[in-house]
Amino acid sequence: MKDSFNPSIEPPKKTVTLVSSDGYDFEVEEEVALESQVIKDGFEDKAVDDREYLLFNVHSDTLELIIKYCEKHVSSRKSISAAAASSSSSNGEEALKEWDEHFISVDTNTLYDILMAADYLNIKSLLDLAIQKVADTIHGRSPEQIRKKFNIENDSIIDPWASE
Amino acid sequence: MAEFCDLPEDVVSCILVLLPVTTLLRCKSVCKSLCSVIGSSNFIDKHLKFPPTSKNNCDLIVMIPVKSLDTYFPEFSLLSGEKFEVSTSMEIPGFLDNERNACWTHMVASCNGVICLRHGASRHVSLWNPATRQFRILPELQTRLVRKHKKLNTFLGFGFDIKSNDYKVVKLMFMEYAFTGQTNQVEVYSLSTDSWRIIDVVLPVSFIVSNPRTPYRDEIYCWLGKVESQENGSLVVSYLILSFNFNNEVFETMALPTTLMSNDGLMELAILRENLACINRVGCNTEGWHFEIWMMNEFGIKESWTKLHTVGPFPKSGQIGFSKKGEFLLLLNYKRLCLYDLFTQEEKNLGVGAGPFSRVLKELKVVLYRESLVSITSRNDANNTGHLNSFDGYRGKKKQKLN
Repeated sequence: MKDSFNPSIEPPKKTVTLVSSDGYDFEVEEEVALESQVIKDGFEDKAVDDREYLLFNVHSDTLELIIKYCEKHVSSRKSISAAAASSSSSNGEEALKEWDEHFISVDTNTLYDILMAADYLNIKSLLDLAIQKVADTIHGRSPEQIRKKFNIENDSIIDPWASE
Repeated sequence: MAEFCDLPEDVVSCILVLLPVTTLLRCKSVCKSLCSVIGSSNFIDKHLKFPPTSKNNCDLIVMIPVKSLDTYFPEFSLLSGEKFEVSTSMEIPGFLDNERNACWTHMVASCNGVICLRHGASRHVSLWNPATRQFRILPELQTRLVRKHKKLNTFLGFGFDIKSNDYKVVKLMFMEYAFTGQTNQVEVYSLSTDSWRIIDVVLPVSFIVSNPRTPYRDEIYCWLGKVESQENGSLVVSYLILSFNFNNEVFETMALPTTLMSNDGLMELAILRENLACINRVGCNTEGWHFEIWMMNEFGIKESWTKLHTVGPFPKSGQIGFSKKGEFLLLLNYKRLCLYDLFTQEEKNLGVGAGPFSRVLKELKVVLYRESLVSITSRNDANNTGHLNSFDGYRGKKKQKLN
């Protein structure tokens, strides 16, 4: 019971194991995993030694990105609320927004994968971020450019000139 | 590797809902699956209710009648942006190229991105979605009025019946006959059947003074009505609010605040922050005009009328109504459209209205507008397609295909 003697040392963090679709284990802190509403919903009912999640729809490449996103958001939230508590000014939210912007600037296929994973794991803020990114990409492009950008087959029956 | 088509449909619709109508119309020709999502009534509804990302305001459409060769042609401007600083001249339907149709065109009301227009000289009524560029002439009235009357005054209302998912136009006609006095007739047009129906009702008013140019919460249209009665041989004039519910098609009346009931000043009915409001002009002296702003906090409850502000003095001005955020819109000197902040008392010239035809500018009309994908095709159009297409061309543009 070392902790009770020296409260400045934090107790060991509880962790959760996430298993990607291609079989890699990712050990993450509990609060990071809880960014996913899906994990959070059934969390309390699961036995402490059985906190392992098989994510059949998420590839390890994508899962790595998702974890990176969640870790950043958990730590930023802490520093923002700490700054608010000590009433010191902070541009934490601005910085996080900038970080998000950078994070989501990925190629189309990665963006799809993030979008699908965020939807599957129900991580609202990440889903919103990815959705906005796709919308921004569509905005201002011609149908042909949209098809090319998003790899969509042209099966349209609408005369493209009719709507111009 | 994921493909666009693998994305769950609700994710796709969450993406699309962020986009403006012009982009969505373009997206319809990308592929079949996008076309079917964008065309579905679920999505149209979702898009309509989605809050705009950058602003929580509505745009304004301003109609200015422009004089040319003894007729008045309408010009439409769209004012958008946080403080309506962006002004765009709107493309108007080809129907208005015809002088007889264009002359004395009026904006009746706006609801869910659809504008109801009335064309004075040709007596047509039309619906117009400027974003999708759909335009529809309503059929002629079911009954042709015989010209036995001395005077005919017609007033319109436009709104949405949420329960039956139908857009409706209501037409109030007050006829004055030489011998029998005044009677009225009410007809309701429903977009789903594309036809007019007579409603058997005796209206408690004899004239309409004002209306907010938009339904109250989509479904109820309100007018400020004038009541004339005889008391001890003399004519007594009073005012009340007449309302029409597009769902059950029932008229009701509501009282104004007591001090305004027999007021002979100039009053305008408006919508202020989703509530019914009345703008009363007071004090026509040398100092200028003031406006009292009253709001009905609880719909239909007379006691809930509250006087919120008295603003002024202004030079001779017309009170128009309110922006979605609750800023006061007025036509200063009957010449310039202004936005007046009721709290900071800041006045902002919207840059619309000045011109050589100031007299006519009293006819300037303003409606609140938010673009939408709402379709103004009728379920009946399948067996009667000619109607909508025939007037659909836009000036100098290739005729458009609908749907």
